[in-house]
Amino acid sequence: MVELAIILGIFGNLVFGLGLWGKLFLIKPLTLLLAVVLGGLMVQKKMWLAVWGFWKKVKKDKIALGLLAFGGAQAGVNLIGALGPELGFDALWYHLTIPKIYLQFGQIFYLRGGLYYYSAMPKLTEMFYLASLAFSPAGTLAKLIHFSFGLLSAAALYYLAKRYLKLRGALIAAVMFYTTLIVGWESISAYVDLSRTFFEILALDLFLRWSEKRKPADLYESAIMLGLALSVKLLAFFSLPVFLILTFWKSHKIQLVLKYFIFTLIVPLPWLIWSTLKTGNPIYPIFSGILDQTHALVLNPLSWGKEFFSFFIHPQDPISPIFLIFLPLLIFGLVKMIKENKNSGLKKLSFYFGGVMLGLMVTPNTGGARFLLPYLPVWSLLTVIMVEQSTRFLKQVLLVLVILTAGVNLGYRALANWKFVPVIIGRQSRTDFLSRNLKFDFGDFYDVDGRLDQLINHDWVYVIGGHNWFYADFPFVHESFSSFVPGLGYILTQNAILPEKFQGAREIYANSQTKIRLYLINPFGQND
Amino acid sequence: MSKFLIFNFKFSNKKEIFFIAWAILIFGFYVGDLVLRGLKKW
Repeated sequence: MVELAIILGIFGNLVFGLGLWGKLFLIKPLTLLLAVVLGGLMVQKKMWLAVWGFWKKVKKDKIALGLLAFGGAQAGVNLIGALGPELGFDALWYHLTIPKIYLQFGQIFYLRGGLYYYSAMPKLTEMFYLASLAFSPAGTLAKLIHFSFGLLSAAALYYLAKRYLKLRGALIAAVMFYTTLIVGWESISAYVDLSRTFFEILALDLFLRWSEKRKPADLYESAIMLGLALSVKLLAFFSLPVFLILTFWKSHKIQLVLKYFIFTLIVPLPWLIWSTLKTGNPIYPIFSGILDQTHALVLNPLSWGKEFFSFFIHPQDPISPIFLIFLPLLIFGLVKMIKENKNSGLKKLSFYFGGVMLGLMVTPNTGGARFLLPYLPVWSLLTVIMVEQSTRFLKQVLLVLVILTAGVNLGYRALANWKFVPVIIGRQSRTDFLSRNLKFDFGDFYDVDGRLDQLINHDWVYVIGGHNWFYADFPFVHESFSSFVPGLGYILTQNAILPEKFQGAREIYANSQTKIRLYLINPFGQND
Repeated sequence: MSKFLIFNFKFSNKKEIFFIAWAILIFGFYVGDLVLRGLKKW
C-alpha cells in the first residue's frame, strides 16, 4: 500500500507540473502510463498470496466471515452511490469544477476571487480527478477514485490493527470504521477526506513500524505519507506536531525530529511555493481575511467540549454511537495504562490519538464529522484494543453493537442510495435524475432541457452568479476570476441581475427552474 | 488476546447492568435520530 501511495503522490505531482507547464493535452498518455504501473503492482504475487491467506483465515471463523460480509455489503451499497451522478455540494463547487476548468484551459492557474479561492491550496486528490475527467467528463471515475480510497483506508486500518489484535478484533475495528455513516456518505462523492484518511493511516502505521524496528526508512516514509496527506488537505498539518513529539519521545534525537519535519514539508512544497508566488501566502486563503469568522481557530478550551459532543448530539453527519458508548471505558483504560506504565506501543498510539483530537478541537468546526474522519480509524482501533483487554461481557457487547450499528447504517445508506439505481440501470435518464435532485436554489447548475447545449454550441461563455458550475458542459469564464474578455459570445447568469454595462446584450433563453438566463453579446462589441 | 464469545449475556454485577442501560440509551438516540432524519428526507 505504501508503494501505491508513493506512485499516486508522484503521479499527482506530475499532473501538477504538466498543468503549470500548460501541457494538459498530455494528460491521457500520462494517465495510461499510471494505469500500466498500477497494473504492474496488481500482478504482484505477494499481494495475492496475502489476500488468499487472509481469506483462508476468515472462512474458518463464522463471526469474522459475518463481519467481512457486512463490510462487503457496505462496499456494495457505497458502490451504487458512487456509480450515480455527483450531487455533493463541495464536489460540484470546487473539487471537480476546478479540475474541469483546468482541462478546458489546458493548464493549471490560480483562480482569483471569492468563488474558487480553494485553487491556491494543495490539491493532490483533485489532480487525480483532473486525470479522470479527461476520460470520464461526467465525474463518475472521480467518484470511484474517492470510493476506492474508502476501501483502501479500511484495508490500511485492518493491517494497522493486526499489529495489536487477532483477525476478529482487527476486522471489528475495520468494519466499525467502514460502516460509519460519514464514510458511507463520503464514499459516494468526489470529496478528498477519504484520500487524506488513507495517507494519515499509512503515516501512523509506518511510524509505529519504525518505533518497533528502528529502521530509519520507515520513519522517512511515514513523514512522506503525512506530506501526501498535507498535499490533500492542509488540515493534516495538525498531525505533524504530534508525530514530531513522538519521534523525540522515542529517539531523543533532535536530528530525527528535524528530518521528519523536513521530509513532511518537502512533499507539499511545490504547492506551498506556488501559492506564495500567486497570493503571497503559502496557505492561502487561511489568514487572508477572505474566510468568514466560522473559519477562525477555536482557542477557547471551553468550546472544545461543546465541539466534541457536537459530533454525537444531532450532528450534521452522524458517526457511529459505539464511539460514544465506549468513550468512558476508553478514557478509563488509557488513564490506567499510563498510570501502570505498561505497553509503550499502545501508549504512543494513545498519545497520537489525544494529540490529534486536541488539534481537531482547535480546527475551525466548519466540516463537521468530515474533519474527524482521518482520526476515526485510530479511535476504532483503540476502542477495540481496550475492550479486548477488559471483560468477556464487554467483548460481547461490542460485537453485538458493531453488528447492530453496521446493520442500521447499511439500511440507512441503502435507502439513501436507492435513488441512484434507476439512473444506473438506465431506467431513468441522467437529465431527469439531475433535474429532480440538484438544488437550483442553492447554486447548483444543470442544462435541464439541453437548450444551452444547442444555443451555445461549445462557444465560450461569460458566467455571472451561480455557485456550482461542474455541470456546465461548455467552456466558461466566471466573473469571480476574470473580467469580461471581448470575443466571448454569450453571458449566462444564474440568480443574478445582468450588470448595466451589458444591457445591450439580447436575452435568448431563460429557465425558471434553474434560474438561468442566457444573453447573446452584440457581435459589434457595443456591450463591452 | 482472548477470543470473542457470542451472545450469551450473563449480568454479574450492577456495573454491567448500568453499561447496558447506557449503551441502549445512546444507541436508541442514534437510531431515533436516523429515523427522524429519514422521515424528513424520504
